Amino acid sequence: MHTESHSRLSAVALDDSAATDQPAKALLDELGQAIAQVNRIVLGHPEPVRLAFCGLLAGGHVLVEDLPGVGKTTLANALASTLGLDFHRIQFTSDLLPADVVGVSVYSQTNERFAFQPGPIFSQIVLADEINRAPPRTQSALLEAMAEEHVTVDGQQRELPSPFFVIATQNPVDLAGTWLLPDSQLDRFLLKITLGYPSAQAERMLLEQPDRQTLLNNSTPILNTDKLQLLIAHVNQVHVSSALLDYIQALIAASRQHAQIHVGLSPRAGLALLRASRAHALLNHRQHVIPEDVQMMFVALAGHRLKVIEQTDHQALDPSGIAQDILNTTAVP
Amino acid sequence: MAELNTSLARPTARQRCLDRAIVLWVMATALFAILPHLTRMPILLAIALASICLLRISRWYRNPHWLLRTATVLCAVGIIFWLHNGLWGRLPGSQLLCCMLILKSFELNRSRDAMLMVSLSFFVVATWFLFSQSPLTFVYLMAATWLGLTSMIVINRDGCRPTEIRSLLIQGARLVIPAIPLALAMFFLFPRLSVPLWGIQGGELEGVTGLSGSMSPGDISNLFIDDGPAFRVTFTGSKPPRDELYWRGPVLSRFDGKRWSQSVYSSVAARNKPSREAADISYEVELEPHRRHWLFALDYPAIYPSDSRLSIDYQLRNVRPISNVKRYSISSDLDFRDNRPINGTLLNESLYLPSGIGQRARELASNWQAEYGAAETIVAQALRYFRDNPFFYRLDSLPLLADPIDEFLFDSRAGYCEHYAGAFTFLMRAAGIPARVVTGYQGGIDNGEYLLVRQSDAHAWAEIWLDDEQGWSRVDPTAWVAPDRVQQGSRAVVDVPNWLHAPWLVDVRNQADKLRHWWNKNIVSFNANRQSRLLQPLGIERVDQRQLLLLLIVLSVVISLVIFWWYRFAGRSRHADPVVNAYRHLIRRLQQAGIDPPHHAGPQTVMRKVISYCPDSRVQTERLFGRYIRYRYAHGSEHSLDAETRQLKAKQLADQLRAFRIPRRK
Repeated sequence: MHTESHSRLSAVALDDSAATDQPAKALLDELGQAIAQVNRIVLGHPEPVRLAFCGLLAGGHVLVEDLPGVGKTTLANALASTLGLDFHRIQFTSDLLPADVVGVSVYSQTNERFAFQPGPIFSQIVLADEINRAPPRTQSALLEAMAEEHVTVDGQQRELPSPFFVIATQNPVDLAGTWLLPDSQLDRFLLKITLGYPSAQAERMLLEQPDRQTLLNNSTPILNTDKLQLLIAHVNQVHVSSALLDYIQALIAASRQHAQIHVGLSPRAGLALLRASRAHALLNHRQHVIPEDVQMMFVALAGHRLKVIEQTDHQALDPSGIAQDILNTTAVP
Repeated sequence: MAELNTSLARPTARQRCLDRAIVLWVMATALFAILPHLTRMPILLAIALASICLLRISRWYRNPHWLLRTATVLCAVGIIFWLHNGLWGRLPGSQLLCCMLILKSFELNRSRDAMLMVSLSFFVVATWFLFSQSPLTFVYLMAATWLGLTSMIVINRDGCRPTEIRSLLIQGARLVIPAIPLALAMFFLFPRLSVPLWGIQGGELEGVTGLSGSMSPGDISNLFIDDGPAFRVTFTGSKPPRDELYWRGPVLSRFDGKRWSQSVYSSVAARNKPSREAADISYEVELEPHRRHWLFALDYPAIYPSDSRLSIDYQLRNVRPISNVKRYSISSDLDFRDNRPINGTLLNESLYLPSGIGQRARELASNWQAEYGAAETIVAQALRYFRDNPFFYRLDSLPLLADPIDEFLFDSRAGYCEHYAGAFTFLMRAAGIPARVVTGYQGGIDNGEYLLVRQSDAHAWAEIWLDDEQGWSRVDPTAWVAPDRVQQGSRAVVDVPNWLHAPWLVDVRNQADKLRHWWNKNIVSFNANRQSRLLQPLGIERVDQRQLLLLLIVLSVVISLVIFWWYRFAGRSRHADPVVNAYRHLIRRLQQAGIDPPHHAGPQTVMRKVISYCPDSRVQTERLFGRYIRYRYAHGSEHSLDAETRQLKAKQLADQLRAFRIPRRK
């Protein structure tokens, strides 16, 4: 169903004869192949996979939140192996220290000086597994690196590789043994993705097919650093009409006026929504953003940024539901 | 799992206790509704009700035990019963309603109770119309309705935050405003009964000032400080000069040494009446309620309302006390003379002097009688006496205690019109000339299209019987002492240092009175008779009640449809771009066709809905929506066209969108 509409859309978009400066069709096709490969490994989650690619193309980081065992780590691994980027995984535990993430200076006997041993964060794709099991100090080290794209060790600033892409996974906050990520740090993630259980059909295939690890080992890189840089550059050229800017502004404003929202979306969230919508448009082979792009990204983008009012009976409202509610009550210009 | 538990527990939690914001809104609505009634209650009862409101909204409030609640209700009923000797009637009924509304707050536990209290508040607000029908009441009622509806919104939303008050009030206003046309249609078209459904009992409208039907020194000067309107006059023809504007009211013939009061014969009908043909001054009077019988008219009324009687001393009395604004038409004959000879008791009454007072006045009068003899000369001598001696016209005269006549005439020599009229009448009677006091109003101020007569224009003058030819003649001794009183009005003669009478304030009051006049004329006195003549401007002479009802139903349906349309489509203002308007029109057509895209759906979603509705239309639908999407969202990119081509394409696209045939499902 989804792929069907996707192909129809590209047909609609590409018959525009006036379009000249499009990214090479081959590049977009390769992107499509990459998505398809990830979908073959992560079964039954086409929507989260597309969102993850959008986050990547928009130059943002992605937080995957779900119950253990639904394929968070598999998704991150599949992305890394398909993109052909340099990849590190950090398993966050309660005794993980900041130095374990960013690296440490070690005294070298031969040179008689301190030499910096880069930590696992110095790679293009970092999988921060179960980020909310580490203490806040360590979380902050990672999240600062995400915001600044460089780390400072022993007073010396060291640039992180480009593109730098963090996929963090976390368990739902009310599970035991977790540290809640602060709001200001949640904001560093462009999107929050939830996977949920696969459909019955996908689950059946999962049981039938060989082990995921085997599939991962057999997968080949489809994109590379240059191609990804090119795609990211194209994202910034996707056109946004003034009607669409009005729409984004209306959504942000509505989030601030919603009755059940304590703190609405920030201007930074508005900019992030714009970038993510552009990426989504490019993913659909379009050179302009349409309202549907914004709608597809909005819930994943706003869900973890909205602060919900505390109810009198301590009933927690679902921020994603409220984000959907905002979408449903804001007219498309 | 924890989430599941709390979500299951939620409805019961909501039922158990109301949000504090709801309690605040509901109590504010109730307090606002009873506020006008509080002003009429005994002060202790009013304080008790207000403090219950405060108690209910305080943080440490707990519901009292049911025994205590029952006791409070019984106590409230008992107090009302004791205050009014019963529970029947306008005042006890409304006060009981107020008490019950506030006491209901002891049971304000669930949203059902909150809804009940707000609904009851609407009813309490409506009862205020039984006491006052002024424009201010109307404004107050609208405000209370607005507040009530906003409270209902708050109840339904399960609370509100301080930052939302503004937007909630706007929402409430959006409910009130569309209802106004419907209310107007109901007001003008709902068939009215020609007699009131229930009579309003008299005697409850306290604090209404005006002429009382008797006069003792100080009565009229007390009215001077009352700036309220007494009545308004619109002359249909020529207007008499100012010094002829004596609005005749109660006629006082009996004097007991302190008070002047009405003749026992004042209920006897007039012996001869002015002819209708000679009545050349016609005017319409709009009389404010004063709870007595008098209608005020110029001397002497020839044509007057059918439900009023002209008495032997030419008082015009309505059959029922004036409890609502009354409008009536009168024609007067200013030249008419009441010269039918008087005799017997009437004559005796007009000459009667109480024993023991006014000895010096009697001496003075009998001297004049002996010296001059003829009645006219004696009158002239009396007026000369007032003019030549140092008499002053002032409000704050000393109280006359033992002998009001002699003390005034010979010692204080300062007083208001009632002193002059009383003393003059006494002198005339002592000189053997039949005389009586007439009270009423004199003058009035020109307020645009009508003449406004205020309570402060109240006046008293004398009438004397000269001979069989001239009959009763009006003599105004005040006019001799203070001619300005008659020429320019009461304000001219008394120094009023009061800032209350600053010119701009007087002007504001006059404008406010104009509004009231308009209101009385068009709204309050709109009755069954005027309703039947409602369509006269359209050439239809009379409409009966069935036609009115039909008209009302038709109009209500039309108004409801307009309101429906307004709610549905008013939010959609026209866009500057014709393509966008054409697209919105297409969406409305799709909605009507049952495809029903929601208003938050983007064009691609709409396109998919159309295609899934009718897969055969896929090619043309994709082409049209694809063009629209590129036009609306790809404009301005490097690929866009030059302005001229774009404009041309826009027109084409708008036409295509309007011409798009909505496919039918097979």
